[in-house]
Amino acid sequence: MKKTSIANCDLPSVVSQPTLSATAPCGSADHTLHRRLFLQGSLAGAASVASFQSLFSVPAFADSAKKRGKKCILLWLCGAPSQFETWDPKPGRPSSGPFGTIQTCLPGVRISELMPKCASILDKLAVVRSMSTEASEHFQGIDLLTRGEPPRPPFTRPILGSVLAQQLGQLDSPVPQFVLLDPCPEGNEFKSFKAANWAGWLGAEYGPVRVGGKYKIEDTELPAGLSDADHSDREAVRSFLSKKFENDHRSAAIGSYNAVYDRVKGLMKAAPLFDLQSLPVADREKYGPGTFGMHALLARHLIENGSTFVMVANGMPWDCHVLNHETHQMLVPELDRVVFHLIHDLEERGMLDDTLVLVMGEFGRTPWLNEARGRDHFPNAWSLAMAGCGIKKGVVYGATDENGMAVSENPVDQRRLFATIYTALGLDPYETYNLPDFPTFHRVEKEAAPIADLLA
Amino acid sequence: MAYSLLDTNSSFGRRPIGIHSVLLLAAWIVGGVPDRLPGQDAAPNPVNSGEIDRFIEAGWRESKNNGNSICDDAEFVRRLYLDLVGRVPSLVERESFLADDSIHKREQLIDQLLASAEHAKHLAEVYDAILIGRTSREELSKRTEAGWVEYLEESVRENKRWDRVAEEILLARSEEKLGANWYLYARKEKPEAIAEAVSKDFFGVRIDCAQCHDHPLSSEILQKHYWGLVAFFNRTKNVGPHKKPMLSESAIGGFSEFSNVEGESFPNELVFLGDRRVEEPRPAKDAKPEDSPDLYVSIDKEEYRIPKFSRRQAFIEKVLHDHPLLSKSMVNRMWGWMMGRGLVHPVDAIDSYHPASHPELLDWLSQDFAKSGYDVRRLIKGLAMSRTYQLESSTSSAADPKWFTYSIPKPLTAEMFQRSLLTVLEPKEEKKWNNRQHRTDFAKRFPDVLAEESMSNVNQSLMLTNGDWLNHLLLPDNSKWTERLISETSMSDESLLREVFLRALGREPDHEEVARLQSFLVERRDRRTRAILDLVWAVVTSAEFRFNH
Repeated sequence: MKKTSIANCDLPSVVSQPTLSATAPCGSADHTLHRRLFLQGSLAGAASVASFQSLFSVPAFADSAKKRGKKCILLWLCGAPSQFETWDPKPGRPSSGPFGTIQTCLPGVRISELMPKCASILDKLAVVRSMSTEASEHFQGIDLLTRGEPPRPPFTRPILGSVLAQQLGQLDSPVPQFVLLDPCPEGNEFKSFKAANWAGWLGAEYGPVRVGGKYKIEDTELPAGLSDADHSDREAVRSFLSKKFENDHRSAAIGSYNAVYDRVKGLMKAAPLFDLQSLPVADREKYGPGTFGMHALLARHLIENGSTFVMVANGMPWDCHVLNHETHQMLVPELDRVVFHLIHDLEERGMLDDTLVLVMGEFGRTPWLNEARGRDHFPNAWSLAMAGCGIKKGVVYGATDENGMAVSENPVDQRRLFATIYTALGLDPYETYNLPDFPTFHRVEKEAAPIADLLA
Repeated sequence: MAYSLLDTNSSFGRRPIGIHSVLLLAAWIVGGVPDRLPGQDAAPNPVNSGEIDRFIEAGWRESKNNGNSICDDAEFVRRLYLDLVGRVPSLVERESFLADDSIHKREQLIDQLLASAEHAKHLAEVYDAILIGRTSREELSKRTEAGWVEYLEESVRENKRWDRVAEEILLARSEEKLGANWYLYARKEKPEAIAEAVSKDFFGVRIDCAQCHDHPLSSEILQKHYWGLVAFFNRTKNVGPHKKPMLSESAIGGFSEFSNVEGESFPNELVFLGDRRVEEPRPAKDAKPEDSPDLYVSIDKEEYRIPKFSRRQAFIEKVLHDHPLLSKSMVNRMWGWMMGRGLVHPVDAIDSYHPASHPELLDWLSQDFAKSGYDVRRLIKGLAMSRTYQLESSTSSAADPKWFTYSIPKPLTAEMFQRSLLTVLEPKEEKKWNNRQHRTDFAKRFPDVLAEESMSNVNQSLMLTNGDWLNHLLLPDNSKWTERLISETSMSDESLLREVFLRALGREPDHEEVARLQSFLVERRDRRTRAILDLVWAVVTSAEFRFNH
């Protein structure tokens, strides 16, 4: 059997198992092996080995949660919020909007008055006011700020969530390790981003489970008349045929199709986790009723129950080319409330120390208004916030000039940001990917240094 | 696996025409499959498929890659049916092709399928998904009632020139063929949405981000092009109910300014890519031009109006007509459809940031397409006839797919997947399994058509594993085929496996598969129905079934 598929052969750190009894004459082997083992036996690739093991011992939620490592929640403010109406207001300057500023619990630090709740917990957060990147379009910006590097076709760098799922997650957990929560998880708005190959060269098994909108996963009950054992067996046949085909072709799409079947069992078990109705009404009221808040609550719940990386995205309401101030007046208070409750809840549960929370978009917005009273894309100088695992508390890092036209102090590009994120999560930012037929890639390129001032 | 000119394992040139092809021909005539219009039979000047291959093979040499051999007939027949009629071939169709002795049988099959009614239906579905996109059941009903689906089918059936289709859709003024109007009508009077769609669909360029500034990565795409294209459609109003969609156009208004990120303002002149422009006098900034009946060719109850100077008409004549991107975008799209990725990839990003893998080939094919009178059927046939299209798909090569050294596996669209399942499972009541709800259920979970890279979603595996549609359709009460498999108790395991593989995958099971699956069946001797259903389920949900390769 040729071992060629991208998904199977390029796993950098999981040892590929040699083919088991691929050519064993069936008659005899059949009797000595458990039938499912037998059907799974010829599968090459690490993913299949992992799922084969999980057939015999599916860890309960409690077990997977117990082995809790480091986790990450990314509140992805798709469309890109304005730094002026959030973390880096410019009171009295032409770039300022109509909103005032508010004193935070950090002496001398003021943020937009639209964020009173975050102002009260700024001593738990780290704010970076000096992001400076080069991509000024959504697709390029999203790609850059979720992967950490500009594209270099035909190689596809994995998105942050896939790296963390692979490095920190448990592939055999029934709880999906990388979850995207989005009101419209398959696309429409920003389809080409959402539908892209997120796991890249790590292989589709580290891609996200994309759900959302309905707060419930459909089709999680076996069809009438099909027992658990029969379900496993027919899936083993499906997988046997499919992986043979996958191995004879080179296509990330094929790997991805097979990978989504590896998740079926886990998701059927984990489906109740996605049922928001099972969470206390008080929680739902705190976070809701908007999808963004509900998904943030769901993120908390998933992280608490064994997910490694949850990305909460919400279409792209932040893309305020029209009526910037009015839109921010609607969106920022929700963001303020959601961040506040999320940090508070994680801390209360003792989870903040090993859960990194990132609050960011793909760039910032212009210091000036356009004709439609919107702010356009502005990657030159923008802000983001983070908190939790490995991150110093109560830091405001970097600064912009008086009008927010440029970074005046400590510029941070996407590489330094990613180096900081990986370091905070206990990962070596410079580790080399060992990929056959590939150039040498590192987790973070150019040896960009993590920002010491942000690290606890 | 290396390609050489001597390596031919197809049946090309091997045998003389035999009795099979005569019978097959007879079967077509009796079946009345071809429904060509008079005068369309002979394409006097077919696409030079050899030229395609010369460009591609030059790329192999340049990139120091070896290409695959030509695929065998069994691989070809499945691939071609899926690409041209949107489903796997039936066992009978497959067998008769394999048994055909004609040296021209691949070409004959291409012609036969391109002329079939199924092809028109299939390609219309593809166009619909590209031109308007995936949708809900209600919306699909509206599209159908509006005549849009029928318009597309008819255009493919008649092999209407692609530039004419584009004109009809964008002028949207035909009195008889209201279906063509749905493209603009469905955008609900949002000129920005119209502009973004028109640019993507008929020029192969995504201009969305030029809304705010000149394209940062592709210097030829300017902000004035975005607002220029918007202006061509910003006097357009929807008139009439969805069953009778009409697009009225005003003679005045639609002048505005756009500003760039530096805050400078510019008038929205009627201009688009390639600096194609239409001059129209601009009223003074504070002037309020009066609308008047004199400005119109016709006014129908104040509602449906055709102005004497029509921006849409001007767009067709001065911008769209013979625009090099009109042919290039269609050529690149059909290349992507047949070959698994565009010469420019993704297919709707024909800009300087996305250079073509084979620029000379794309230029040559585009000019050839325009010269042929935008003949889509001829283009598809030319692609299908090429060696590039007919390569084996199996590979262990690490070559960048852009070199087309093997046939790139293509995920079936929702419609193709569903139709192939219906072909294989043969429901007793076809209609029960193929209504608009079913179609949109599939399309929602398998939305991709010509995606840059198609990634699967758990909704797909959950639906196919647990959902009602497939699990019910499989049952012998509903499927003629599984009923037959189950009732033929005398059938040996080996012949059963052979039938399942041939019918669903178009190939015989290999040694290993027979051995393993036979033991699967043996072990379930006492519950043979379950065993057969599970086997069939596993085969039709396998990646091999899910992809065209």
